[in-house]
Amino acid sequence: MPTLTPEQYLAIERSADIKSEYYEGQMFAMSGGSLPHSLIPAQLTAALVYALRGRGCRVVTSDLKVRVSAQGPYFYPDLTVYCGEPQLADDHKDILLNPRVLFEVLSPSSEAFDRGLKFEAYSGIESLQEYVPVSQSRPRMEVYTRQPEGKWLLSAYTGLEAECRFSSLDCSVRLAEIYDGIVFDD
Amino acid sequence: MAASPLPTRLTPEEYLAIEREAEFKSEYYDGQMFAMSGGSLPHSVLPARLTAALSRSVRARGCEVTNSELRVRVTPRGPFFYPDISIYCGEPQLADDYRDVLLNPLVVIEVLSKSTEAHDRGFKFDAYRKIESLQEYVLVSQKEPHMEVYLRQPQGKWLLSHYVGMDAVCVFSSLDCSVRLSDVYEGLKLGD
Repeated sequence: MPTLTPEQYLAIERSADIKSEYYEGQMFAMSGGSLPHSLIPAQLTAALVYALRGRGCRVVTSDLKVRVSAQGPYFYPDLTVYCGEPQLADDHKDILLNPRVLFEVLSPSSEAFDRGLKFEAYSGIESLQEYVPVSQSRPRMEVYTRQPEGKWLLSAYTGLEAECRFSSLDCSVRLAEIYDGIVFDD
Repeated sequence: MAASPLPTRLTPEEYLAIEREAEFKSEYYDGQMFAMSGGSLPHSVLPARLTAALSRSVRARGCEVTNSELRVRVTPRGPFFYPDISIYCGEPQLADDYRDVLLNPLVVIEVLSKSTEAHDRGFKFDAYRKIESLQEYVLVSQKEPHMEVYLRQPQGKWLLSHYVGMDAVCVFSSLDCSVRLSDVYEGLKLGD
């Protein structure tokens, strides 16, 4: 596959029928997701919209690109929260520059990437305060909270009784709500 | 190192009985044994370099560095893993007279590879966190000079520090020592 510039990627992406992410000079088409992979972000969105009422923060779905730098990478997080005015890359208004919290629902094919390279890339977004990998095989959310000197504090929340706390948003969500209706294998 | 499941469901006792006679290593979790494949050159050199770099200061503190021949147990029911490197301090706590199952690692180090990265970052880290003695969990890239250290904090939280580049110095707070990444990665042809 030939290497693309970020401008070429954006030109192709803006008229494409499918979503692709962009990193290391290449476009990566995004496949569809399973029911849990769709239901969990939907229920998270509902819970967060409710929890964030009146706080000046907004929840957006995986149709909005997030950019690490002008050169990329460009990703479509499963769920994005920004606070205050959205900072957008240009008049297309389709690239968010100032996410505060990003969520990725883990799947077997994406787990290594989401926990490894993607998290590392997201760390380069200065506005980002929390990164949340969400399991779909059991009720479990992990919150990485930014600390001074480039460190991140990991808090794991496991079980339907747990309540997942987002300190950068000063709110929390109940895992029972996020995983309502999800059938787990074991 | 890639793992593939063997078909039968086993108790931990059955696993240990088979494993102690086996000619190759298998890990055990979810009632199954997972055979461990061999590793690439960087995957073998990195633990050796790390052991060399850590050994002196670790031993001066009454601690010991062990290689991937030693099993580590999370609970009596499992999982049982073979970390690439385990470090324990003081007396080793061993499960029984076979002296081949360590219960009290202070630091566990895993070298990442494509086939195990999700497992090492996800399931395995999650399991290791349940070992009360464990203070640091370290992931070592074989693609670039990059080590990640998770340090145990109060209330079940873990602090993640990245050390990137040949000039970086990776700090092991629980051992009060550090390792220069150039000592670990110098001269290695990286990539997996």
